[in-house]
Amino acid sequence: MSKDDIILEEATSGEYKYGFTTNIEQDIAEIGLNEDVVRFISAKKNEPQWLLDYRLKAFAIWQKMDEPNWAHVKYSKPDFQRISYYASSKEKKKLNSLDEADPELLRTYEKLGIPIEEQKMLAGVAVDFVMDSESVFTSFKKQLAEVGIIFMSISEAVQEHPELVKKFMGTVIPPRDNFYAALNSAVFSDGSFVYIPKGVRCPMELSTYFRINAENTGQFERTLIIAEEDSYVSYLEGCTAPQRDENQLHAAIVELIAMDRAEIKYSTVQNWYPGDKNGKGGIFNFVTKRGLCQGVSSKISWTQVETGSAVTWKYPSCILKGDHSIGEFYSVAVTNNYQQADTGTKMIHIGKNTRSRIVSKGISAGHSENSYRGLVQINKTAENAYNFSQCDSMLMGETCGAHTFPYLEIKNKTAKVEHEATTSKIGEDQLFYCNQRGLGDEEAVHLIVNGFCKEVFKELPMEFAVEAQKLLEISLEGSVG
Amino acid sequence: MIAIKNKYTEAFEKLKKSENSAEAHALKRFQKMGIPNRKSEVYKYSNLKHFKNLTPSTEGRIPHKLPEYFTHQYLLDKHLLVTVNGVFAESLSSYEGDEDGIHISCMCDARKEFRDIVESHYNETSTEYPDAFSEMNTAFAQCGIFIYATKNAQAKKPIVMLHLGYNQPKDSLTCQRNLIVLEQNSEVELIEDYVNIDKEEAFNINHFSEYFIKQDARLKVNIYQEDSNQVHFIGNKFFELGKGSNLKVTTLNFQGEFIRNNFRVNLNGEHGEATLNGIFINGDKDHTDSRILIKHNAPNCESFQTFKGILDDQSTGVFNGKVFVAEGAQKTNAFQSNKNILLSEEATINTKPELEIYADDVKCSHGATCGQLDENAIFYAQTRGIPREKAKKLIVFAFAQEVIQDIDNELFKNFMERRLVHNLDLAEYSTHGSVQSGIKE
Repeated sequence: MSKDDIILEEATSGEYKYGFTTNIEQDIAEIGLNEDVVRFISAKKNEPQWLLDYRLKAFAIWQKMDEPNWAHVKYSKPDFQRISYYASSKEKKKLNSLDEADPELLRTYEKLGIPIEEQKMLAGVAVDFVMDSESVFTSFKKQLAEVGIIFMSISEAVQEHPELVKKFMGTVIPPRDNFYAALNSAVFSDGSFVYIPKGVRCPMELSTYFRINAENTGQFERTLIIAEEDSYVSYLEGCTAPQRDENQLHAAIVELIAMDRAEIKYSTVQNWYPGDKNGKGGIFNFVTKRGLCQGVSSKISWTQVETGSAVTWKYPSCILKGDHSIGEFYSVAVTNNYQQADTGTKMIHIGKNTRSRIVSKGISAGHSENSYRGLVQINKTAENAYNFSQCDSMLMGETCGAHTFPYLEIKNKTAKVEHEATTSKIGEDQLFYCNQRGLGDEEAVHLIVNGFCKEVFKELPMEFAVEAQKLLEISLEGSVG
Repeated sequence: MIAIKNKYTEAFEKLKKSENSAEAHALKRFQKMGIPNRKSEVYKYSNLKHFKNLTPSTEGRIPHKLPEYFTHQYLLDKHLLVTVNGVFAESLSSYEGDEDGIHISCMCDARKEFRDIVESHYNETSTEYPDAFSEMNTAFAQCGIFIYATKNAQAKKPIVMLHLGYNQPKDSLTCQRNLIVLEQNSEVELIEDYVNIDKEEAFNINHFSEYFIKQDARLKVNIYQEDSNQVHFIGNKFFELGKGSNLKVTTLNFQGEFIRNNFRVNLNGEHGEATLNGIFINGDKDHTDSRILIKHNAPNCESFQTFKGILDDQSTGVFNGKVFVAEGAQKTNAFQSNKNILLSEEATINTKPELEIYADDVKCSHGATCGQLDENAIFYAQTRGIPREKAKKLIVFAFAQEVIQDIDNELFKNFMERRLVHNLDLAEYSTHGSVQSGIKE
């Protein structure tokens, strides 16, 4: 074994640090999926008739759909009749401060290394915890309410602001969009709802930490963010999940809507359990995320750092409908061991003078497969549209794969579209240079990988950027060779 | 579906092949697949509706009399091989066989004279990725061209393969099949040209060629497609490259209602090198689809792709190039570039440059761009007294030149330049002058 191989070996043997289970009594729906389960979920959440109808319609659509298999991933398909579609913590009392929270929960956060008070103080972050399917804790709600921002779980929003939910839900991602979107529309459990009124700049970064907790419980989060004219919001989503042997399914929907001159920045750090080093277990992450730049000069920016999940299937997209609107996608995807990721974006240009920018960095190690799949579509109406895409892949080891599948569809002659991609490994000369200056192999690799990803990290909010770098180090621990 | 099966089965019965023949098996595989629709990723951007209505031709003969036809004059000293409706027409061809160690014949003769060679190569490339059209071709293949270069043979003259279409029954599809084998250290240059000399009917071709380039052998293929008469072309060209071999393919499509070129290159031995260049200029409702798969199966190989598209009117273009680097194919160097210019509001380009990589010590990159003509450049030309329309064409000419400049054969390159000058109506700015579109051969 050469030195490189040893480093690789070490790196790839880094175990998932966040694998633990919290014991909280759960209210779990019967295993399996049929119309009654959909009705059960809806009734449990005390939903109005229109939402039940929406769910049932989506369920009917889902039943007629086939699971997609075009992605460059291989996995044994989940048995949808062996999943429980509803799990929520039993105790539901409202909390005023962290002291009232379940100590078990607090311990969980501690293990994750995210002291919540500290975060609250340091960053002014309002944290909306989603423990399994239902939000049990919402903070800073009052402060936000003062400026008219609505930030709550979507099931609360259904009760308190049904007109908004009804108006916007499903407009960006209709149930028939794809197999998992239909499934989510039928059985979605909970998620976040954000409404930024006209002219308001959200005073803090909004944040949700997702955790998957109950065994055999699929998570079907649904997030809806609406930014009215001239508003701004930055939203953070972060995930870690306890260690499980059986594959768990996560099929979320995130919908963003930006009106005239509004801007939404959506950042994700995803660190779900990727399975052990033999590829056993791990989360299936089949997420549909899409933003609609509805208004003139609106902007939606996606930033993601993907280090977890056994199988990732995720394409945060932008529909650039308003003239002069902007879409951005920054991504770092790291795969190790037997992880598989097929991720990328879609930029649909409809309005005039629309611009989009794609920066994707893929790092594969071990036996993993990492694919970028992206679509840039310039429609006839999109005069003077501009796109720039850059997809770089880094390979560590001989047994992994890195792939690029970009689709460019251009129907307007005034469009300017540029795409470039490279694939390479860490150069021996680069390593040697660092060694010369006294850095060990591992440090050198961290340095180089961090430099490789810097373009994306700098798009993340401060606190997240630190966490992302830490995650990257853990994912490729001792390893990044 | 049943109707389609009957159509093919009926046509196949005319060929009187036994049920156990390779052809019969190919037919079965084809019928299982059917004509692909747009749900198939491989044909996502090409509408094959037209091909659904066609029946494979089983004529197997060349027409008694051909009308006087015009073709392009290459001003080359060459071996000329002519096929009519997919069948090798020896009487129309002029070549010196065996002189340079290059054997040329029709496929039917080759099956007898070069039985071992044919048996060990024929249809060997089609099993890896089954394709409906290559299977159909195997079932209905006409007696095409066989070229065999013996060890160390060097063709002194380029071999021009002129494929004519004439007097095909309405709604029939010609299945043309060629086999080209280059033994160790041999060298051959091919020019392939497709012409429809029938003013009435469209020339529908399902073309399938297999090329075997053994150790240290060198093959150049220039493919030229320009025809004002209707041509609907589906071409599968599969290349197998041995150790240290070299392949260079240049495709020039100046006109064609429906052209789909499917190139597959397997780099099977170390230090192989493949270059694929192409340019198309589409107008009207022309559709050109270039699909390329280069597989690096061995270490230390290099591949280069440069494809350019110029699209006017309501034309559409597709580029789908893929570099595949297999596990263990270290030190691969692969480069891929696709550039397109849209000249009209109605034109569409779909491009999909892909990389699929399973080895870490590689250098692979690709780039794709799409844009319009640079207003500054047009203005620059205008200030120097060149009318706006001509200025645009000059810029298009320069854009196309990159591919044409790279053609090694000087005479053929000059010819292509003149064709380009002619098509863009730039004779007054050219030192070559223009060539008329049809010079009697």
